[in-house]
Amino acid sequence: MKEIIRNVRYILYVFMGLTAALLLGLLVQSYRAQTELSAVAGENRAALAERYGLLAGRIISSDGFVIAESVDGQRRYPAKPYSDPYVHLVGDYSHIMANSIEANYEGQLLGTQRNLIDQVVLDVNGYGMHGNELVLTLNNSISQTMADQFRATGYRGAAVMLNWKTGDLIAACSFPAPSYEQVISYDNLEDTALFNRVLNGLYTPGSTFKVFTSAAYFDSTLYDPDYTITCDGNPIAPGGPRNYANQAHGLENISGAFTASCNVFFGNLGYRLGQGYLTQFFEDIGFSDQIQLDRLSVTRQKLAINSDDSTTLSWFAIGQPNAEAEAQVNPLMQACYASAIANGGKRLKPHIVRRIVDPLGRTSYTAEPELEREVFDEETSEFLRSLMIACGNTLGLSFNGVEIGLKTGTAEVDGLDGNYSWVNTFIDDENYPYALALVFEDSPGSQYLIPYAQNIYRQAMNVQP
Amino acid sequence: MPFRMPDIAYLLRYLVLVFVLIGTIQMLKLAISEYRWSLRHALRPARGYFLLALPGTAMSPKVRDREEKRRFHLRERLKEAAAAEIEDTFAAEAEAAFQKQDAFRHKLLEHQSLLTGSDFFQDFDRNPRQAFDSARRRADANMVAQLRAHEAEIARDQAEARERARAKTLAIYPTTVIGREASSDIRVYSRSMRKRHAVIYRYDGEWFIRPQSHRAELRINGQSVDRETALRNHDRIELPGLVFEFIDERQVAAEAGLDYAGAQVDDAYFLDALRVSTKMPFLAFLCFNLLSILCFGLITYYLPNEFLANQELLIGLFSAYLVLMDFYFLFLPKILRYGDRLLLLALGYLSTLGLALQARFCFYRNPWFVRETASGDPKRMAAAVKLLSNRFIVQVGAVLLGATLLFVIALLIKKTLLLEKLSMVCLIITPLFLLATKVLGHGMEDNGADLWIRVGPITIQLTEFAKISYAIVLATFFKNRPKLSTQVFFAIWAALVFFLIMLLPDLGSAMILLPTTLIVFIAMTSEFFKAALVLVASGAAGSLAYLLFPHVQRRISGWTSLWQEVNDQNAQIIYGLQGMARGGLLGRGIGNGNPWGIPLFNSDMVFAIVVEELGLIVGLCCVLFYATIWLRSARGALLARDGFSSSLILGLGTMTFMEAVVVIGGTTGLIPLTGATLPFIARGGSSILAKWIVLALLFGLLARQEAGANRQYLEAER
Repeated sequence: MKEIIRNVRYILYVFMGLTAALLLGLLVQSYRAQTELSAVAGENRAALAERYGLLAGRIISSDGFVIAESVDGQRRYPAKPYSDPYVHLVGDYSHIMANSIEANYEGQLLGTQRNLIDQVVLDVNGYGMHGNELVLTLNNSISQTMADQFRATGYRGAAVMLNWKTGDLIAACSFPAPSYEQVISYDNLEDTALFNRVLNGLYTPGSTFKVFTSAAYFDSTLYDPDYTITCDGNPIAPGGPRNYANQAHGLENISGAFTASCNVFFGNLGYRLGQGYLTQFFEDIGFSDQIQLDRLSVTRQKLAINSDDSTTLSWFAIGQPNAEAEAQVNPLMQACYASAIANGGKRLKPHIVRRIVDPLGRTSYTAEPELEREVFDEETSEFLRSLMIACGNTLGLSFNGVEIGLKTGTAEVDGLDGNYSWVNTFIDDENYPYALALVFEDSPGSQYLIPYAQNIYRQAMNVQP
Repeated sequence: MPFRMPDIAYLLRYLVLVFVLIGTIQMLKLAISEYRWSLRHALRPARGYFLLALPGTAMSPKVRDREEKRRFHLRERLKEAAAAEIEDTFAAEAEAAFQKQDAFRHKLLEHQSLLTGSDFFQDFDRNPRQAFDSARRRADANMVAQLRAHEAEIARDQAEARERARAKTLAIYPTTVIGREASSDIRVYSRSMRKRHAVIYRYDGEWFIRPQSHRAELRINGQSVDRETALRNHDRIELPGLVFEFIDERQVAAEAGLDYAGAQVDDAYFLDALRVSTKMPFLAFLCFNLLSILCFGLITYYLPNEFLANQELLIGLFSAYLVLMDFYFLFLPKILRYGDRLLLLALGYLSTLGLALQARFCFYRNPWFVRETASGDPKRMAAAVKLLSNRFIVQVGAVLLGATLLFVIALLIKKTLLLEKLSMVCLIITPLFLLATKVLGHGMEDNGADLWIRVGPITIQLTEFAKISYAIVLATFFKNRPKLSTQVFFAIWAALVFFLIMLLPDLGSAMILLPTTLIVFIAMTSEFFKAALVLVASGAAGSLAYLLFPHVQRRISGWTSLWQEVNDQNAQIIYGLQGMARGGLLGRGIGNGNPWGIPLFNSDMVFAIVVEELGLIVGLCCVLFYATIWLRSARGALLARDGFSSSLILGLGTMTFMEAVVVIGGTTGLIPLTGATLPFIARGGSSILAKWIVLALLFGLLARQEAGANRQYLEAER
């Protein structure tokens, strides 16, 4: 009997250990599930559909357009074509596009990320299970106008408009844009339709890169405002680029070369500035910074200069690097830099969520302008601003008495019949503080984009969000 | 402010948490304190029986002194416990009872020694002085010599009686080990005594003795024995250097024509102390009722329109369940003395949570039902309503049947020796159940194993009942430490059973029964080394199973890839974990979770929904409910009247707890998923019924506390 008593006592210790281990294990697994398994691709779709459909908060644009809402147990989104500007950024409840508002703000939309006191207050008021509402910075009418430009042309690409005073994302599009039905059913999708070109696209910059080369030159000890070359269409730097169609621009300074987008001038600049200086310059302006659009991640821009020979440097300087160098830019970042130029050199953090409102109407979050990095000093930004405005005036983007800074770019890409066509612009008016980056893939050239940029600006100036 | 079901359920989750938490804390506190009490009082002699160490016995003074001290301390502790809780007069009565018993024993022994005699000496026995005078007057020298011889004989008898009165009465326990080892209950310092020489144990209403090894010398009434032998009153037990006499006090009293009440008084004292030490968990009982009213009220009040026709029936069924549980709790000690209220409450909490969740799965936002309704076809809708209603009614019907049978089975087990009689039957039917399942079984779901047998309109899971019969066989073999040959026989039988289990396949049952077997084996035999060997062998068998059985490979593969990717093998667990993550500490409220999309959410993965809807804290409390069930079984094993009861109580309690551990561990990714179901909460009529039968057996066995009379005496009395 004594043995039995002793053995049962030993077994009790084992069971106490087992129980404690099980309890601890439950806590650990629960914690891991919350941190590692939420918003995972392959998450239980049926559960997501039900949770979002039940009482998830609305997502609305800054001008009141409902982008996502829960009605009668279902999550509803706009039908095509009105969904085009939102499908990539806002995403859907199935979280197929993990880098989206619906996926990354799940806790807010479903009301699971609240502190205890707020939760109790909402519980008592009967709104404990209701999610929060997200008011975005996106303006629907500008976004639809932006999407119209892509629909009119049928080109793939991306467009981003920022408010350069606040960092708000006013409008953005990524094309091709599938319908929500196609996304949710994961069926009948066009090639790369789910790819978010606004946040994750990387493109060869083409001549838009000359903005940076100009800035690098201006900041360097080599800068001479009276420096000129005589452009005959042939490269000055050995192995450097020619002008498009071998155009000869004659005697030109930097302003003229900028407006004419002279490869000869800028190729020479690149060679003169050198590998070391250029590498340091781009590092100083945070060219490859990892930025976020609130909780959405943005693919880092790429830059590398692996050789100091004239060919590499000169082609790099015009935004068409050869094999020894690399320059890949992202549309959102391009818009951020255009904003910085308009904003005295300050690159602000971009925002897409303007406000978060709880079911009782209380605002729990409001976006505020926030400086991310001072990329150019006042002088440099003024210098760049004047170059771009001169370009915009010359190429006819400015209209209605409003001056618009502009740099176009056309990057030749292997494997494409057309080019990456770019426009990076900003409105030089505090009443219309907009910066726009627009890129079309496999398209004729950047000049082609100017009317579309104008259309977008016209709408923006009409609406004035 | 909206007052829909989701909002109310969300708000009321705080109350659910409070009720469950209060119940858990009180029950756990009581279970632990009562377990500690039972540890202190577990070494309780079997009243009404003892061993008499006869003169000439080579008992060491140490043994004698220890026995004296043990009886003294036991008496003191019982007095202390009584004095702490009840009036002093009771303690005085108890002490008087002890003294009375001691005096009675003296008297009994004296009388016994005087029982022998012949008619010739009757005069002498009545009046020795007169007999001598009479013999002298008749000048009968022979008669005088005979009288003197008889006088001397009487004097010797009296001396022997006095010696016997001083001889040590040694207490015996439900399982008493005699040997040289320090852990022996009767320790004898003799070189020819083996470490574990013999064991005396009670089983099936009788006492037995058995040598523990083939080299252990043991004689009963002069006959050498090498196997278990029944003990009768006055049987002489001869061990090397030791002679005992087995004494059944009732029979001795009956022979002496004495009115014997010693054992009852003694037992009554202990049993009163047992009752006093067993607190009434009133607060937990109140919270259980409030929880049940809250959950059932919510469900029946917000029943969707399509199911309103069943509302009254549901209210009736829920009420019947609650009334039955309340009746048992309040009147259990009257019906089933020493019935365990804590066990009943643990069962009640789990059953209430289970019923609430199963009702919610059937009636609220069932997507299949939503689709059938959306079809617009009245026939389809009616069929769907009927199917879901019947599904739940079967579930609650199984609970009610189990609750009704609880009392019947418990009373049967307490009053009779039915289980002991069934043990050999269970030996045969356990593998038969498994074989029948293998041959006739079919799956209930696409993902499940083929464990159900259809018998007419109903389906039965025979494996659940096979587990019960396995536990009975286990207890039969390991009511104490059996011979090696017996252990080997059991090992072969168990290997056959486990092989059949793996063939089914039923990984869950294997993972439940293996630790249960080891725990009972270790508890009753102290064979730690062999248990370690069995564990190693099981590991090897598990590895072999992994190589041979694809379903085992799938389970392991799913478990190891849990945090890396989502695939067919682990999607079920991942979705369950996501559900748990959504629930957080407080849960989303009953009906506000998202179980659809989790395969087998109402059976294998139901714990994930418990956490999602009721919260992680309630989930942890559920674990503690199962732990409470085990603590009560451990307590019962210590206080049981015989080794079979100890073994079976421990086996059934361990089986229930291990099933919960295996299911919860698998659901949460701590161990591979097995397909076992959470006791009392998961869906399944036969599974629920089997679990209630297990608890009924536990109730009955735990209630076997009263002084167990020898079977012969009971038969003689009848």
